[in-house]
Amino acid sequence: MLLPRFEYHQPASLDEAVEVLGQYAGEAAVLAGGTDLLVNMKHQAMAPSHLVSLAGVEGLDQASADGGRVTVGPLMSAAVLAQSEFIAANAGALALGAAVLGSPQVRTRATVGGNVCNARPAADMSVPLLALGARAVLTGPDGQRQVDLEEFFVGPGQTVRAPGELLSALEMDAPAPGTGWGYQKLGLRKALEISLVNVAAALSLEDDGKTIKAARVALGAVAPTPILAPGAAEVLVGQAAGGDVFKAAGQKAAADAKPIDDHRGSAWYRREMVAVLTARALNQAWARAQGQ
Amino acid sequence: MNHNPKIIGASIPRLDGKDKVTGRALYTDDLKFPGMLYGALHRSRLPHARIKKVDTSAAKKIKGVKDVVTGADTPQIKYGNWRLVPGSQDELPLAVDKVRFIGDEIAAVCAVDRETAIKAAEAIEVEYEELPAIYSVEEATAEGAPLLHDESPGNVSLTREISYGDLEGLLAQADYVREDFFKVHAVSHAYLEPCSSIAVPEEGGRVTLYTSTQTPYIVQCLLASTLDIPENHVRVVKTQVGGGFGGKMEMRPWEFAAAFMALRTGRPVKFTLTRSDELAFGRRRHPMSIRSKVGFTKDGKLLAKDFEVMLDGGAYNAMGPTATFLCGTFGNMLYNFQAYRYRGRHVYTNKPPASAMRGFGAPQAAFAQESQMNMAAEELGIDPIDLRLINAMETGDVIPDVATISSCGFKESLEKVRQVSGWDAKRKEKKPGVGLGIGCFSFISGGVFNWFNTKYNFAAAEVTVYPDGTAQLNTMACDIGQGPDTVLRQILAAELGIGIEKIRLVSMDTALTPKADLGTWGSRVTLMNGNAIIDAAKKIKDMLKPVLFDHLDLNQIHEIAFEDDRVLVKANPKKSMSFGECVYHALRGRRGEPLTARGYYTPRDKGLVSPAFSFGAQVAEVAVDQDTGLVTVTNTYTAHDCGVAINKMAVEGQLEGAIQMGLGYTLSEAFVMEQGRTLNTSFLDYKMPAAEDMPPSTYVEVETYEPEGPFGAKEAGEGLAIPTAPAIADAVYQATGFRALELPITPEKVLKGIGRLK
Repeated sequence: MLLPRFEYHQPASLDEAVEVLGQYAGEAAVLAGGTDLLVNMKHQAMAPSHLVSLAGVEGLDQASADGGRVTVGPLMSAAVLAQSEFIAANAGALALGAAVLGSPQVRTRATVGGNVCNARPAADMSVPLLALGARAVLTGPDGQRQVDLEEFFVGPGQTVRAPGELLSALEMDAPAPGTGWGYQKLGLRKALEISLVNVAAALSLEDDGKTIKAARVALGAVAPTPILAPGAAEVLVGQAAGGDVFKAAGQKAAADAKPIDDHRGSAWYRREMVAVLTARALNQAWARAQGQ
Repeated sequence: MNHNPKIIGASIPRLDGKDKVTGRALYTDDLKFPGMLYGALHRSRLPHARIKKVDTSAAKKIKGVKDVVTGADTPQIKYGNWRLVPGSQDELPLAVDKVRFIGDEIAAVCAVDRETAIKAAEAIEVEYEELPAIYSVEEATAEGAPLLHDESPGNVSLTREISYGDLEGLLAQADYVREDFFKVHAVSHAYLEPCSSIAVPEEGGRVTLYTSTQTPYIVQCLLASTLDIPENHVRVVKTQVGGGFGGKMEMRPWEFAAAFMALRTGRPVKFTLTRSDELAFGRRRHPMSIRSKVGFTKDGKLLAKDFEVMLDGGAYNAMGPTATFLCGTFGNMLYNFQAYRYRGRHVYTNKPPASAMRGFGAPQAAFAQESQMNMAAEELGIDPIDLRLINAMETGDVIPDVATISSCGFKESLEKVRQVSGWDAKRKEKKPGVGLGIGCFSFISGGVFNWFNTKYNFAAAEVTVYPDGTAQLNTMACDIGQGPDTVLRQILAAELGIGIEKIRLVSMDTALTPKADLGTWGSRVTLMNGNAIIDAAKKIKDMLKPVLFDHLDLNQIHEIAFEDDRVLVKANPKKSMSFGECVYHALRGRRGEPLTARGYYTPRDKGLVSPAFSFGAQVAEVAVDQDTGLVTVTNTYTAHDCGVAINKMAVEGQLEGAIQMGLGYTLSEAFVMEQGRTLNTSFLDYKMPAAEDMPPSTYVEVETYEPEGPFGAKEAGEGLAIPTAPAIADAVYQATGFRALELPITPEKVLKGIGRLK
């Protein structure tokens, strides 16, 4: 199958990219890894008349830490994120999610920016980023703005990003000492799998190494967008970490989930699995928070 | 017996392998012809409807469209592979009066490019009178159910019955009787190459079809009959084929449409399907509803079996009649018992037709049979392997009305798999969430039945040898990825005593290769074509032997051997000449007439089913996540009697592929359907296991010598696809206490089964 006709642009800077994007707003799509975009175009699910490639824009494929803030470049590939020691130390949930996205071939192409902007409910990098409390940095003709990721996703495939805007960075607070992350993905295959349910958790412990100081649990494939489970976080904070409280958090997360029946699985099974995977993700996060 | 071990039993990599992995191999869709047009199909949007009107006017007006045809334009001749039973031929290339599944082909177009063809196909408008549709065998056979085909009351197109022995009497005598119901589902062949065909018009109203098929000769015959032209006007050429698994063994509507429009337009026409077409409308494995009742003595001797199967055939017969027949045969393989009753019914439903698929009825029958053996073993208090050993077939056993087993390594397979899997120790050690289970199999090495009603031998080969020491093999045998292009050359090389690299292969062109061959199915190619090749090679050797007698003035008591590219006196190997030199002298002696010989094979006096049967046993080890219900197969152990393995590497490849298919069948693959419509039409949602899902696999060869097979060989292609489902189901039971009687074993079913969820 051939790609439909389109005009290809390769701007050399962020400013130029925003300019090109503004010029064709509404008719242009941003090309990063292309693992979703090109497939959708081949299937005629999308037919943008202009593609704006980010391949020529420098500096979008780096991660850095600066003054309590961690920045992840949107062009970083899943394969790079999965293997990066910096990401493992500063945004571990993202590394865990990136490592199980698609297949080895897809991971070398797929980017975190694409994963977030495509806004699929089960996206393997979006769900961890939500647990990390990430913010999307959008650059447009009128400058930059920051949007919390939980406000960023609107529906399947839909975000608050305006057609003339570009996701130029993902930012989050640097992890407090005693923070750990977990990521759990449930599917029938070990590769090329869209999760039946996926759960990411971030857990920070007080100095005593036991009491939960902060927690975020994010859920995938159980709502039109990746969602946070505020009920789960609520029961965790202030409690001593451990199996029972994780189980209780799992139950709360299941209550926060809004799964539907579809051809990939039934709603009741997904809800049950949210409880199971939440407890597991929290256990995993706890082990890492304790430095194991 | 096993002469030339350098070739027979060696692990020789595929001779076509390099071209395939480097992308040089040409598949049908790679071919282009000058002036070639692109075809597209208009398919039914309803599962069951009468066609009131087909309006093609809008399609014809589109620029670039060269032809549009509907059923009304065609000769309207029904076809099907069972030519011997014309009433079973229930399919038209393009529908005329009725459509019976979503995807039923109604019209075809061809245009200067693919996009225009698709646009034109979409512009065709069909006026339907919608009819009530049925989606299961239970609905289809219920009283008052709507009929798909007027000729088949009750929607049953074919019934096969087998009955011998005193069934009722023995079941009454039995110490232990059990009756179980099983349900198995449809899965896709999921061959990597979607179907593609190109028809090229030739002079005199003839046509050449390049096509992705596993049965070119059958396509030639059925294409000629549906086009209403002589068989010899149709030439079918098989290109490289990226897998078939039973899904490419019939003539298909796009082959007809390509040829029909090529003849009308005078231009080549190509059709290539997409993955989404294949998954939405393609052939699939038969779902079956199975009832099995068995009686044992308290010591575990199986006395009698009552086996009833309803096959969900979808909208047309396809290869369903053969599957219905074979299911009855597979229902009484592996074990000896005195009384058997089989009733198989092939039932129409408004779904894409089911057809042959790797195992041809056996994976379904064996899921029931082998699961039931495991269940009976537990209740009888006998180890499942011991229960099988008590009842296992042996060489020389007779299956009433079917065959005498001429070689059987089943008991050895059971013993070996017990040993390599660590069965005795692991089954005793009960660990929650971990289990070990067993399934066994037997399969045919080609079919004796001739429902296609070929007038030719079942397999043929033509061998020519040259003074430069090389040979040419012309054969209709069909390599669809399973390896006969290599294996058959091994057989010829071994028989002629020349290197495999010396053999040029001309394969599968119905105009150039000797008549005839029934194609690749029923695991027939190695045995049948191998025998035909040996027959031809022996005739060649008879042409060569006199040269040595003449040149060396040999006493006629001598025997001549063919080894290492030389022809030699067996008792005195120093007396020899090169193979090429021998051919040279023979050619001179024949005053220039080439040394060409034809060989044939047709199984004769080999019963009603198959000339030979493979056997084997497989143990699967699983880990079940008791919170999610997810089953992971952690190991498999297989012992297999395929007679003498001609190419060990090829047999191991078959095993790996079979385990991959078995995993999918058992755990993850299924069509999600709603009102006759398939919802999961991509590999993202159709969950075929990927490389990372493959468990480690231990393989033990149980070598027997099959007297009917070439160099003692039997089948290795399909039998291995049978045992995995019952083995995994048994392992899941050992791990969780949940006995799955229906496939696939999904996490949801496991959780419900172990009582974790309601």
